Amino acid sequence: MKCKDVRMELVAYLDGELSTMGQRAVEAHLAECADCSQEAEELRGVTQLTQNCECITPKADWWANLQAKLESEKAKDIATEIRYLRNTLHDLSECFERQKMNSANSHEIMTLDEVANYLRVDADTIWNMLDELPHFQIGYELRFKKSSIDEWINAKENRLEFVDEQWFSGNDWFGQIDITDITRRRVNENRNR
Amino acid sequence: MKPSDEELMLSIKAGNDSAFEVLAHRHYANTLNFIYRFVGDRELAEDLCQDTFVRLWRSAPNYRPLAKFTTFLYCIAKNVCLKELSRIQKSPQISSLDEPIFEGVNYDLYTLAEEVEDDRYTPENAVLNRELSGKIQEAIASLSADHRLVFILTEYHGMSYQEVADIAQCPVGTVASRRNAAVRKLRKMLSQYR
Repeated sequence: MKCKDVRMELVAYLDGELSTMGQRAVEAHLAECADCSQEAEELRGVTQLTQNCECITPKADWWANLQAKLESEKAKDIATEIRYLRNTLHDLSECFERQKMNSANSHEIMTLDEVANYLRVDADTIWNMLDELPHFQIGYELRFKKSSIDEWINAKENRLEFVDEQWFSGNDWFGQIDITDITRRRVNENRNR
Repeated sequence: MKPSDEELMLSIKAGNDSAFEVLAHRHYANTLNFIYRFVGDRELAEDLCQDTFVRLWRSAPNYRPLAKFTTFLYCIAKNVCLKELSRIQKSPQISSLDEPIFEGVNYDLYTLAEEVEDDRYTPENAVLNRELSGKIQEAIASLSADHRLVFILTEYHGMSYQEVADIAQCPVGTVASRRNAAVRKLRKMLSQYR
């Protein structure tokens, strides 16, 4: 090892932080190099000297102070919690009010917009389906009865089920039954009803 | 058998306040000394040490025993100190030119013999040691924050380079080179006292 390299590693060597190989290499160099060996002694002297730095002890009331601080932190936590709970309660009551309003609005007789909302479609879709949807007029105003709308929905659902039953329960459903024909017939029946 | 620091921390996490008392009594003095050497002001060190333990208590709910507890604690202490030092730097105090740069400790408040229960110190050499100790503190304070952190942790807290690397969040090689630079700088500054 060269002196330059040893000096870089000298403090780590004194701290015993080098690998076993490294420790041995530095040791070997120090044994034969007086300069480096003196340098090592000097550095060891520095770390011994700095050990003379005094220690301080905590003030007598440190624990009482710390406890007081923790208590105030806890109080702060509780205040935050209360604020959070209060906000949540406010949000919930708002939500509840809105729900109440909505349920009050769901009357038996609905306007076009309400039906659109109820069926979750666009108002234009309702306009286009007026032939199909059960409705009535009061003057120029269109109104829909909720129970009729529900029936209409049920009929629509049943029709689909019926087609499915025909399709799967046929004895020889490999091309013997004309499915399109059955569907058409059922649709017409429903319309006429 | 005494519970380990990590066990105590987990106990605090579970809501046991008396575990915090045990933990604080176990580590307060060491942490205070670390902070004192790092910031070089006793009053400030007391405040920062209290902050450190409040933060330790706050972080208990999220604590996971991944590293040694002391690594965790000193990491918090280091962050508290660095934050405070950068705050002081941003708003520098106006001070007289005649004042010494480093004031060290207010020695009137207590005597060294009281503070250090060590038979190496006798009343006769207490005066000398006090002066020497002040000079050493002064020299340490003149190191850069990175070098100071590494030097204090290795020198006064007996930590390995690996532990210091975890606290300083830098590679082990960097710790070695900082320690090397710090010791050499101190040698230059303290040459008259050897």
